Amino acid sequence: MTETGIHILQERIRELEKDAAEKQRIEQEFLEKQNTLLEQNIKLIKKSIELSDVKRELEDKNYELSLSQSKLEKVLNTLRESENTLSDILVNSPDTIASVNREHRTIYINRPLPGQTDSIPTGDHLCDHVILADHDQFHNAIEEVFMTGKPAVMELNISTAQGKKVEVESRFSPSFFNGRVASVIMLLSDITERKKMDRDLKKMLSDLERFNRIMVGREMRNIELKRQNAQLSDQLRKKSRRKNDRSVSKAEDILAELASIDDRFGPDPNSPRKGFTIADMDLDDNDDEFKEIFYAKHQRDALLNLIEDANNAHNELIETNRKLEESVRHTQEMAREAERANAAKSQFLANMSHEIRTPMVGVIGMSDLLIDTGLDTEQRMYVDTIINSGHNLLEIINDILDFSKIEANCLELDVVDFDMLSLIEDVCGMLGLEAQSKGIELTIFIGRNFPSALRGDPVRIRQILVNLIGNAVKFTHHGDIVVSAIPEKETANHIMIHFTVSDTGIGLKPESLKSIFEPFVQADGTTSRKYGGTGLGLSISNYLVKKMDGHICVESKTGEGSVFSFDIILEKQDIPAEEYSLKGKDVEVPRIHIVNRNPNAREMLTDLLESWQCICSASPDLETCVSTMYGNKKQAGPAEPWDAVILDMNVECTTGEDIFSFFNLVQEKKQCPVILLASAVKYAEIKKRVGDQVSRILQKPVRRAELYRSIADVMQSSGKLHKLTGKLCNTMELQSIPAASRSSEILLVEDNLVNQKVAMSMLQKLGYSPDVATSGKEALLALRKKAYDLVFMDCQMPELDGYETTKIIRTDRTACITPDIPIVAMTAHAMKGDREKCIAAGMDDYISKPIRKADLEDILRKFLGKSPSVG
Amino acid sequence: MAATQHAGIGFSSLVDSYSAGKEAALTAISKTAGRTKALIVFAAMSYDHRELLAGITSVSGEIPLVGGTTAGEISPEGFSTGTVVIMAFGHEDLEFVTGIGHNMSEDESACSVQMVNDILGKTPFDPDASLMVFPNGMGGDGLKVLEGLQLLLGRNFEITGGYLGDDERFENTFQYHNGKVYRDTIVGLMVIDPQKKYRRGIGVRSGFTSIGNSLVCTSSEGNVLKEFEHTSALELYKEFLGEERVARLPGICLEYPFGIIDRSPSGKGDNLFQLRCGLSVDHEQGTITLAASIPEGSEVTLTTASRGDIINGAREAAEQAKKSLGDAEPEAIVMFSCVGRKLVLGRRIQEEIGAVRECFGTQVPVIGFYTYGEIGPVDKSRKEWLSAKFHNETVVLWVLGKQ
Repeated sequence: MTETGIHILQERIRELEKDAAEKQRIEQEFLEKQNTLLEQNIKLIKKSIELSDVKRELEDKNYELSLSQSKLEKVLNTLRESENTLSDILVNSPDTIASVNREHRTIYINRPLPGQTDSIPTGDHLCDHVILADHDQFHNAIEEVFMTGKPAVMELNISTAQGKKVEVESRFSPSFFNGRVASVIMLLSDITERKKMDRDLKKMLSDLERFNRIMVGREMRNIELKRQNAQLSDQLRKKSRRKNDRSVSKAEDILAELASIDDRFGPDPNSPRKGFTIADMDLDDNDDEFKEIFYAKHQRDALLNLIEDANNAHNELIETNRKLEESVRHTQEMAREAERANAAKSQFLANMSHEIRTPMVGVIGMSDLLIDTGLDTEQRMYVDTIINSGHNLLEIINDILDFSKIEANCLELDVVDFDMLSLIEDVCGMLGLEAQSKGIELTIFIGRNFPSALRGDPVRIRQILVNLIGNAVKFTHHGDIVVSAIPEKETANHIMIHFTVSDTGIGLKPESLKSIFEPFVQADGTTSRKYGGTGLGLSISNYLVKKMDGHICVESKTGEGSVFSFDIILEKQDIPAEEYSLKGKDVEVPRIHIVNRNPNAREMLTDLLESWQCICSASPDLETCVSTMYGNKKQAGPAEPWDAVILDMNVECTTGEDIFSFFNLVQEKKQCPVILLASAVKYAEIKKRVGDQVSRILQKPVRRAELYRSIADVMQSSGKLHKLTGKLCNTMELQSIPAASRSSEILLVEDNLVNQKVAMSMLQKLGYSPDVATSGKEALLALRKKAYDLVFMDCQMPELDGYETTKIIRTDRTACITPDIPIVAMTAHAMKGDREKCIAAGMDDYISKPIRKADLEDILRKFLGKSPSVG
Repeated sequence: MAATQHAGIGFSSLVDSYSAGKEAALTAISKTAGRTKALIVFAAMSYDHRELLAGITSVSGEIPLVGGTTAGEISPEGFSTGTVVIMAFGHEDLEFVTGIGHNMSEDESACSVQMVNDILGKTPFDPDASLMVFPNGMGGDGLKVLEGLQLLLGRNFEITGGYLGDDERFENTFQYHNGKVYRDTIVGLMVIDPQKKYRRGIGVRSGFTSIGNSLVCTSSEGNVLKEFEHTSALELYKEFLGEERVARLPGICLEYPFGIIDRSPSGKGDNLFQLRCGLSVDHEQGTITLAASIPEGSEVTLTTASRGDIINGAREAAEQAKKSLGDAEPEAIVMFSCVGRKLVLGRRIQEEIGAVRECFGTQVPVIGFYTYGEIGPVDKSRKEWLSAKFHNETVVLWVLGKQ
């Protein structure tokens, strides 16, 4: 091989190597590009997936929206229905009900005016039908209601097409809108019949009076005549004695006539004629005198005629009297009938209120459901308004219902066992929230040895308390409200409890005090404008208290506040009163210091703690407390130790620092924990700020059991309490049962997110961590994988609902690990028959939505049992 | 009444199996004036199936009957569960022949061949007939069933059907054939129209759309998908989904099924695919198990649909069926919809049936069920797409119309 050949060959190899390198490079590039493409594809797909999710979400929202819309329509329909019910009542009312605007033109009228057949078109003046004489009075009355906002009554005459007059009683009542009288509502009842009766009666009375007058006059004259007659006879006698036999016989004639007069009128006790004989006659034989006698006789005849007249009048009087009696009897009968009619009216009202109540409950129920669906802010606001208005309306209806029950005399009291203390604490807890948001302190004061286990009607007692405390909260703008319950007279089986609700509110005028318990009376015409309400609350309370053998009364001063107090007599339960005591061989005497700005609350707490055998001291503010801790230098001896400080957050804390330095000081000086009392409004905020610095934060108004527990805890952790005794500790343990059985597995089957959250949070608070299935199908899958102890099953689920799911669990025994697991239905409509439906489907129990914690606890206790408390 | 007998529908939600069967059969048959020629029965898993069929045959006697269990029933009542629905064909001019093949899970193709042979043993082959099949939905590879059918009947023979279900227990389904209950079989109904008096409209649509470019399946074994582009299939799928959605595996597969791109008929880039839904995933192996086999080398695209898209899909299927029906008057609708669609639709389930009924009018009798897989041609009106395919997450409508 030549060198050139070798050279060419080498050259060729180099070229080939270069080519290969180039190829490799291109291949590399290609691969890289391919990877980039793949990556880009991945990115593209990822983005698309995200986009598709957004689309899904949007679509679901739209769908929810359209669902909400149809639900809204349903609510509207229900509303329309209740409107129809109302208009039914209006149309069927026997009286004419009308409403007029500021120009006194009719806005509404339910039927023609009494005595008329044609309806009056809206926009017309009612006064066109009022007779001219009453015209101005009518307008003035309406104007007066517009001006004062107070109801008025007047009688007026309406002219009919036939030119007749119908007498009408017209009641005017204001209708407020935004605090102003927007229209006046009139109730016109035909009183022609009543007026006619009135007039007849009056006429009869005046006739009677006239007769009486005449009769008395006649009787007087009668007596006078008789007296004259006697005189005449006397004279006649004297003169006759002097007469001959003939004249004697004449005289005897006269006497016989006289006697016959006596027979007719009966003997007159005033007349001296009794036992009067001829022998007594002193006759004169003078002829002139005889003439005189004849003249006298004529005169007497005339007199006798008069007396006859009088006699007839007398009979007439008797007849009139009889007629009068008859008409009185008739009137009484009519009155009785009217009373019966009134009772029937009340009954009608009671029924009607019930009829209105049912659709209202429907409206509220539907709205509650509606609010759970995906609504936007505006829709939510509307639904909130529907719910609020619904609740208000329902309250009013309930009041009317109660009242009409009272009027119709068919309100019955329950007699059941209940716990008075928790009732009071519940009511105060509920209304306390409202009070606190107004910056008012609500304090409960329970008398010592208060027997809490009583028998009676807790619903009605709650109603009285809610009414009185609710009023106190409503009418108080600053200061505080104290609710106290003190046991008074006590027998073996019964006890009288004295309640007072005192406030520092606007108070009542002296003139309103008397009538405040009467129905439809509000302290002032302006009250309803400013504070609302039906004005029935107090009269219902009054009635209820009376029904519980008690008495209600009020003391008040305008601008200073009111004290409502009542006592009721209740049966005692056969169990001894709870023992609240922190004294005994297992516990040292707790020393508690109270810091509270409110003197009532201070007193209440001191009293309560002392009743538990604690030793108490108190300060009105932080400064005083601080100086107490530094010790009074003048006082010799070591400062008293404290076991706890109960600090109410109502003390002024200008800066956050104050409170922290106070905690530090307590720690330094007393080495004791702090229990905070906070209003529910600020509870969360306070807990966040200082929660880790204190032993407990209790919500106001403070519940006995909670305070007791807090102090017992403090004593226990400081080693000063070894064992709790008494009934209370049982209650505490009872409440902690679910927590003790935390290991129980619960499955919650619920498709609605909101309901799911509610139930979850409740169960979590009770110490469980339930699994969630969002459909019947998921539930079945979960039950196949895990052995649960309890299932909460929503009944209304799409596709496979709660009933079907349960049926599958029960019938196909291979479908899940524990086919006999307790299943508790959760259903939204607490209707009759629902329970049966659930049981028929194979469920064990039933709980209605919205779920209440107490119900949930009951269920947990029932099905998860009372496992022994974990040591 | 003239010879034009309409189909009659029977429905019962009674719990007692015998009574439910009897009630539904009575209603269905009475509507055809006693001239019923065949019955299709779909029923919930919860029944005692022997009792149910005893109830039906107490009314129907020897009338040919096919059907089976479902994951939800379809009838004029809409979607229902725990019920039985029956369609009675009272069409005098049509012939109905049933068939059955056994032991499907041993060999799907052999089983379907057996079923077709059973039918062809009773009636001569008519290339213009229409076959409706109801295989055991838990009996193995759905695709192989179709391969067996087409082996005997030819690629372009009209086949529709739905894989029977078991109320989403995914364990075991039942088939009904002439008054008897079977397991692990394929039952079928051949509808023959010798006088050509009828037309059949078919609609097959899902509403799912492709997202992103396609990937090539580089490794698979039967219905276990192993790799795309030489990368672990599950890893890639997870990458696509993102962390949040990965937590919802395998349920999320229903919302993002794969589409096997079908280039065979046209090759003109029509974005045609048959859906395959992931049933389970193996995180260790990095594999996804699908409802049917996926051949190596096939192009796969990721797809998705919202609830609205799914309902729209049903509407499109109805429109497609109506179009292929021409001016024939619809007399009966049989509807097969995937259980996956039902799961995604949730409480909007009724809208899917609603869309179909809206398109044809609510007076047209309808029966159907939620399936574990569907069979139907992609587009009957186009010759190149006449061949039946196996689908997931799809609606298949078979509509009988009088010319």
